[in-house]
Amino acid sequence: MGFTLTKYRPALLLLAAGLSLALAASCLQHRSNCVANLLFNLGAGRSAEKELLKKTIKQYNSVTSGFYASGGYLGEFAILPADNLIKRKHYQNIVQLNGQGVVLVFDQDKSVIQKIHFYSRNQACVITAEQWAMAFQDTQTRKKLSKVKGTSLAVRYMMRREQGKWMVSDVEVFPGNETVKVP
Amino acid sequence: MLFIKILSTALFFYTLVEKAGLFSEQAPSLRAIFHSYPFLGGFSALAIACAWQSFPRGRVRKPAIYGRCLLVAGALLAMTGLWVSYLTYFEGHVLRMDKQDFLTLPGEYTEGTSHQGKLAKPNSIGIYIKEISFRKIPFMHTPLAQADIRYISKGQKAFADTTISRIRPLYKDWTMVRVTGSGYSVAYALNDQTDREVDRTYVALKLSPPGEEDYFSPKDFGYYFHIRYYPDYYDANGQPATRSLEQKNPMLGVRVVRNKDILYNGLVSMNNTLDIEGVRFRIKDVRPCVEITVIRDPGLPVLLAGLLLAMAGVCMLLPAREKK
Repeated sequence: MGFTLTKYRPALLLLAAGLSLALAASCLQHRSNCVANLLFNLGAGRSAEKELLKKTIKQYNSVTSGFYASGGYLGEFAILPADNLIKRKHYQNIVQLNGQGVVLVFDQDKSVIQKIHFYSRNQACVITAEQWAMAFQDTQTRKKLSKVKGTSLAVRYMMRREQGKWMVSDVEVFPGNETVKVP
Repeated sequence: MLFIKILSTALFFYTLVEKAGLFSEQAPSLRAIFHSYPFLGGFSALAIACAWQSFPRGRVRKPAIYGRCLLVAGALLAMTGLWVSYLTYFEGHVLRMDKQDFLTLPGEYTEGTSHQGKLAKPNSIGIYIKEISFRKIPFMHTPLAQADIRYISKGQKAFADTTISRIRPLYKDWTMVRVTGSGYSVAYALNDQTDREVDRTYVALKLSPPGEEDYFSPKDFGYYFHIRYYPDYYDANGQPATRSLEQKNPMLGVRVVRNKDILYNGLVSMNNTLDIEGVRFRIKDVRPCVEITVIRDPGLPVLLAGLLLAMAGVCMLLPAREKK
C-alpha cells in the first residue's frame, strides 16, 4: 500500500484555489508595480541595483568634492544626486567658508563599500569605509592655509529612488573606528 | 459551503501574502490590510455567505435554531463592524514634552502621521502632560516611557489624572491614547562671535535608551550635530555610560560634522559652550519627550462583538452536528 494523495486531493485543491485567489487579489491591490516588486522581493536584479548604488555614491562624492574645491560652482548642483535638503546644507557650508575667505578642498583617497541593505525596491542603506584628505586654501590665491588633514571615516548613506534614479537622502559621518549598523 | 471554505482560505492567504509584502514596496500594517478593498469585499462576501448558509429553514431543533440565529447575527454584525471601522478609523501621532498639552483633534498631529477614514469624527480630549518618566522593565532593552497626564473630555465635569504608557493606554469616548515612543527634546543655542544669538530652539531627538545617537542640523548652518545623551553620566573604562535614567549628572556626546570633516567629537556638559570656527554652540536644556498615538475606531468593538456572537453560534451548533 503506497502513499497516495487521493484522500488529500479536496484539501489540496481548496488550498490551491484559496492561494490563487489571494495572490490575484494582492496583485490587483498593488497593480501599478506588482511585477517589479515581486521580482525584487524574490531577489532578481539586486546585483544591478547594487552597482547603480555604488555609482551614485561615487558620483555624489566626486560632485561634492568639486563643489567645495571650486568654492561653490552651482553648475555642479545640477548633477548632484542628492535631496534638496542635503544640497542646501552644502550650499550653506560654502557660503560660510566664502565669508571667511577660504575654500575647503576635499580629496577622497579610498572608499570601500562595507554593506548594502535594501529596505524596499526604492529605499536602501549603504555603509562605507572612507579615507579623506582635506585642506584650507585662500579663495583668491589658492595658497594653502592649513596642513593636509587625513581622516578615516565610516559613512552611512540613506538612498532613495526617485523618478527611476537613485539619490542620497541622508548622510551620517562617523569616526572610522566606530561600528556602524543599518538602522 | 465550498464557497465559504474557499473564501476563508483566500482571506487567510491574502493576509499572509500582504504581510509578507510580496507585491508591495513595503509590507503594509494589519490595519491597512484589513481596510483594503480585496479584504473588505472578501470578508463581506464571506459574512453574507455564512449568514445565508446558516439561516434557519424548515423544521430546526431549538438549540440549533438559536445557534443559527447567533451565527447569522454575528456574521452580519462583524461585516458591519469592519465597514464602520474602514469609514470612521482615525489615527494620529504627536510629540510632546512634559508641561505641554494638546487636543485630540485633526491639525494637532505631526505632519504625515495621521490617517482618517471618510466619515471619521475624532473626539475632543484635552490632555496635559504633567511629568514623563522612564521605568526599567526586566528583559527589555529599552526603558518603558510613561506619562502622568491630566485630561478632560466631552461630558466630563472635572479633570481626571492618570498614567499612560505603551502597555497602559487611556480609553475614553471610543478613543485609545497611548505612548508609542520616547526620546529627549534638546534645547540648543547658537551664538556668533559677537555673542549675538543666531538660533535657539528645542529639537526632538531619539536618544533613548542612553547611548543611542540622533542628529539635527540648525536651519542657518550646514553643520550636522550628532548627539548621545547620558542622564547620569560616569566613565566606564574610558567609555561614557549612565548609572540611571534620572538626570543627576547629565552629559552629552557631541559630534559636529561638515561634509566629510569631523570638526568636534567629544563630551559636552549642559550649558558649556563649544566653539566651532567662531560659532558658539551650547545645550541649555534636555527634557524627556514622548510620542503619543491617538486611535479612534468605533467599528472595532462592533466587529469583535460580531465575531464573538458567530463563535457562540458555532459552539451551539457543534453538539447537533456531532449527534448527526
